[in-house]
Amino acid sequence: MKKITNPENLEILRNSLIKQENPSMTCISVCLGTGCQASGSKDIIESLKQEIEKQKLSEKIKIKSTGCHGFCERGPIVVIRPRGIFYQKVKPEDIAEIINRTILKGEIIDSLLYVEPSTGKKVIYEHEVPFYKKQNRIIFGSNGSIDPTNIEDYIRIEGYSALSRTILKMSPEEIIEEVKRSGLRGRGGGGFPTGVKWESCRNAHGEPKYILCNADEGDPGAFMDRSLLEGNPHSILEGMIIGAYAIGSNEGYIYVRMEYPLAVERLKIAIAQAEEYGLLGKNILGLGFDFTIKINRGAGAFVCGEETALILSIEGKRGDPRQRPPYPAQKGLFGKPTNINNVETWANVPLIINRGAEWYSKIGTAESKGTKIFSLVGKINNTGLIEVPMGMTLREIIYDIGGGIPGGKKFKAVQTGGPSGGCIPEEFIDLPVDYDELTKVGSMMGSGGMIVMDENTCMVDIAKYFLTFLADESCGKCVPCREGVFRMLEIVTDITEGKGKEEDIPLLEELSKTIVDTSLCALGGTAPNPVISTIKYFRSEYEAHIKEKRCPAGVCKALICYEILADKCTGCGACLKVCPQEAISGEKKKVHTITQEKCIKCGICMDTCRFEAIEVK
Amino acid sequence: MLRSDPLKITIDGIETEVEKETTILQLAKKLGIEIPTLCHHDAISTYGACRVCTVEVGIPRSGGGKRTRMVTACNYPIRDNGLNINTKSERVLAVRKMILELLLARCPGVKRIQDMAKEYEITESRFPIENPEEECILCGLCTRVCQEIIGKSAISLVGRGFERKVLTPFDEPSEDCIACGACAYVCPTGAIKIVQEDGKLTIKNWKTSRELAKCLECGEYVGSEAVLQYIKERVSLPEDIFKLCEKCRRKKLQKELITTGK
Ligand SMILES: Cc1cc2nc3c(=O)[nH]c(=O)nc-3n(C[C@H](O)[C@H](O)[C@H](O)COP(=O)(O)O)c2cc1C
Ligand code: SF4
Ligand code: FES
Repeated sequence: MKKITNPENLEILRNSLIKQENPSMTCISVCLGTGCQASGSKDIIESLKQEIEKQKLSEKIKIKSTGCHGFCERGPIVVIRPRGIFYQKVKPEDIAEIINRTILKGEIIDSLLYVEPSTGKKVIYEHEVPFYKKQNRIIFGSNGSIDPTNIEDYIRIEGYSALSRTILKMSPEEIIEEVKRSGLRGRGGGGFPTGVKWESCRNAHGEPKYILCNADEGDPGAFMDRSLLEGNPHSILEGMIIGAYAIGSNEGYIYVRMEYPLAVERLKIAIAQAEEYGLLGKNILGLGFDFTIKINRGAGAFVCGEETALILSIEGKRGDPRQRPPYPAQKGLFGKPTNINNVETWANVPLIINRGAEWYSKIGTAESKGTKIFSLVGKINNTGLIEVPMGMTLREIIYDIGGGIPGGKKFKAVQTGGPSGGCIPEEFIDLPVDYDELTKVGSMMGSGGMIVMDENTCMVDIAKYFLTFLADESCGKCVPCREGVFRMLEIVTDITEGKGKEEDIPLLEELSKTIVDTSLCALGGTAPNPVISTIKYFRSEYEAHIKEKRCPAGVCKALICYEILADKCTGCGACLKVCPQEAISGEKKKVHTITQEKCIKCGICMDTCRFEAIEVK
Repeated sequence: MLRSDPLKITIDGIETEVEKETTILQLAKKLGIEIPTLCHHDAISTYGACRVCTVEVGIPRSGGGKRTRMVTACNYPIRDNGLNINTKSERVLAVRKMILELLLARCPGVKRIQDMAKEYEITESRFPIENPEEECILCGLCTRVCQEIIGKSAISLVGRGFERKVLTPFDEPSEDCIACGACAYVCPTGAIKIVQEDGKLTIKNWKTSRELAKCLECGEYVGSEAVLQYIKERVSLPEDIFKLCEKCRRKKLQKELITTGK
C-alpha cells in the first residue's frame, strides 16, 4: 500500500473498499476477543478454513475474525452475515454442520442458538438477542463487524474520516469547542469534561506537549478498555491524533497494562498500518501535521492507573501518585503540559466529529452525555460487556439486558464503579445511571464495573473483599490511606469473625471521614465507599454480626455452622465420604451428624447432599 | 515570567496579601500561624505524605460562592483571589487527630509523635499496635535528602501499602551510601541509627559501614572517608584538604603564617 498523501485519496480508497464489499456474500465472523479465544475460537477459525477449502467454497464464503462482541460468557460466538444468524458456544465439531446446513441449505441449527434463560425462548438473529436489543452500541458496535488487524475494514466504515475532516476543515479551537459542546466526560473514572481538559492543555505554556492514553485498566473484572483495544484499535488512535492536533502535540503514548498481550499486539499492528497508510507519523494525509504514538507497558500496580503515578511510571520512576496541582495539563510527562484520557474517552472522539456535537449530546442525561460501556458481572444471567446510553435505569440494565438473577434468587444490591465504588440497594433499582446520580447514592461511575449481588451475599463480607483489594493496592505514600484503610480492613475482618465491638461502626465512620478528606489521591479518597455504603444501606447486617454474632446471609465462616436435618437425612453417606475433615459420622441409612469441632465450614457436604438435608445456621 | 499583583486572601480570619504561588505553609510561617508538619523540610522538595498539615480552604467559584476543600498546606500554592484558609476549623482538628492517632498506633514509642498527638489531646490509640519497635512513619525525607541534596539515591521506598519500607537495594549494604548521615539528620522520628565504632561509621538501617578518616596530626576522626572523597570530587578541592582535622588545620595555618611572616 502506498501512503495516502491527501484527504481526497482517502475518500477514493474508502469508496473502492465499499464497492469491493459484496453485501450479499456470506461472511462468517468469529470473535477472537480474549474471552472467546479462551473458549477456543482460534480452533473454530482453523476448522472453518479447512472445511471451506475442502468444499472449495472460498469464492462464496468469507471468514472474518473480529474483536470482542461483549457476550463472552456465550463464547465462542459466530455470526453469519448478512442474515445475522447468531450461534453461541460453537465447537470445532459444529463447523461442518454450519457449512452444510446453514450456509448451503439456509437451515438454522437449533442446538447452537441462544436460549433466553428467563423465558426459555430460542433466538435466531443477533439483533434479537435481548442482551443486545436494549443496548446502544455506538462505540462498541463495530467490534463485531471489523477485523481489527485490517485497517481497511476500519476505513471502510468511515474510519479516519473524522481525522481528515478536522485537520482539513477545523481549527484546533473549533475542535475543542465541538468536544466541549458534545458534553463528553472522561470515562476513566473522574468524569472530567474532556473539552475543558484539552483546552487547558492547549493553553498551557511549555513545549513539547504530550498526549497520553490511559489503558492501565486495573479494576478487577473490568475489561471494556481491553475489548476496545483488541477489537477496534484504530478508533482509539484516530481519537488521539485528533486530540493531538487540537492540543498541539506531536508525541503520544499509550500506557497498556502488562496483562494485555493481545491488546498490545493489535495496537502494534494498528500503529504500523496507520503509519504505512500515512495516517500517523510525519505529514499526516499530506496536511503538514506530525504525530507519533509509542506503546508503554505498565508495571501492573493498580495505582499506576492514577494519572500522576502513570506519568512517573512512563518516566521510569516509581509509580506513586503526587499532589495536584500542578495538574498534568500544566506539568505532566517530563514536566511538560500533558493531556491524559482514558481509552474509551478517546474512542468517543471520532464519533463526535463524524456525527456532530448536536447529535451526540442528545444521547444521555443533562450532565452525562453519550453512552457508557459497563462490565456486567456477578449474580446475573447474562454477564458480559454492555454499552448503554447514560441514564438507563439499573432495572433495565439488570433485568432487560442482564436477564435478571439466576436461580430465582432475590436481587440484593449492585456494586458499581470498581473496587472503591459503593453498593446500591434495591430501593434505588430505578436509579438512572449517570455520573451524578451514582455519586448521590454513595457510589460512582468509576471505569464502569457493575457487580450484581443476590440475597446470598453478605454485605460485610463484600466490604471486606473490596477493602482487602484496596489495602493491598494502596501505594503506601500517604498516612490516611496506608494506615487508615489497613485499620478499616482490620476492623471489618474482626466483625466478620465475630470479634466486632459496639464502637466499631462509629469508628469506621470516623476513619472514613479522615481518609476521604485527606488522602493524597482518589484511591484513598474513594476507598471507604464500599464500607460507608454498606453501613448506610445494610446497617442491620453489621449489627447482626456485632451484637448477635450472626451472619444473616450465611457467608461468614466464623459465624455459621452446618447442621444435618434429621427429617430429611436418608443416611446415604454421601456427605460422610466427601468431608475432608472426617467431621461427619453416622451409620448407613441412619441420620448422620456433624462434629462441629472438626468442621472447617467448607460447605462441600451441603453441595453434595441430594436431599437438601444440610442447612446453614 | 511576569510578576503578578499580590492576591488578597484570608487566613484564620486575618486578611492579608500574598504573592501568587506562595504555599499556605510559607504564608502561615510568615504570619506566625502554627501548622504541624512531619514530612516537610524547607530545603527539600515537597512530598505531601503525612497529611498532618491539612487545612480547610474555601475556593471562590467563578459563578459566585465558595467550594470547600481540604488541602495540605505544605504544597498548596495560593492562586485565587479571595481564598479563605482555615487552619484550625473543627474539620481540620478532627482529621489531624485521626491521623495522629493512626501514627501513634504505628509508632507508639516515638517521642515526636507522642508530643504532637498530646497537643491534640490524643494520648492513646484505639488501634492495635502491630510492631511496638516501629519508628519509621515513611515520610520520605531521608530518601529525598539522599537523592536531591546529596545526589546519591542510596535508599528508596519499596513495597506497597502497609508493607512499604525504606531500604537500600535488596536490603544489602549499599554501594552508593557514603554514610554522610543526612538521612538521620532530617528524620523527624529518630528512626535512623548511626553508630561509630572500630574506626567505622555505621548506619544500621542501611547495613552500611564506612571507614573513618583520621587527622594525620592528632589522630582525631575527621569524618567518613567516603564523604570526604565525595566532597573533594564534587567541589574539586586540593587532594590533602581533609588530611587534618579542622583544629590541626587551623594550627598549621597559623604556624605557617608566623614562620613565613606574611
Ligand atoms: C487508583 C486509581 C486508578 C486509576 N486507574 C485508571 C485506569 O486504569 N484507567 C483510566 O483510564 N483511568 C484511571 N484512573 C483515572 C486517571 O487518574 C485519570 O483520571 C484518567 O485517566 C483521565 O482520563 P479521562 O478524563 O478520559 O477519564 C485511576 C485513578 C485512580 C485514583
Ligand atoms: S491515597 Fe493511597 S494510593 Fe493514593 S497516594 Fe495515598 S497511599 Fe498512595
Ligand atoms: S507536611 Fe504536608 S503532608 Fe506532610
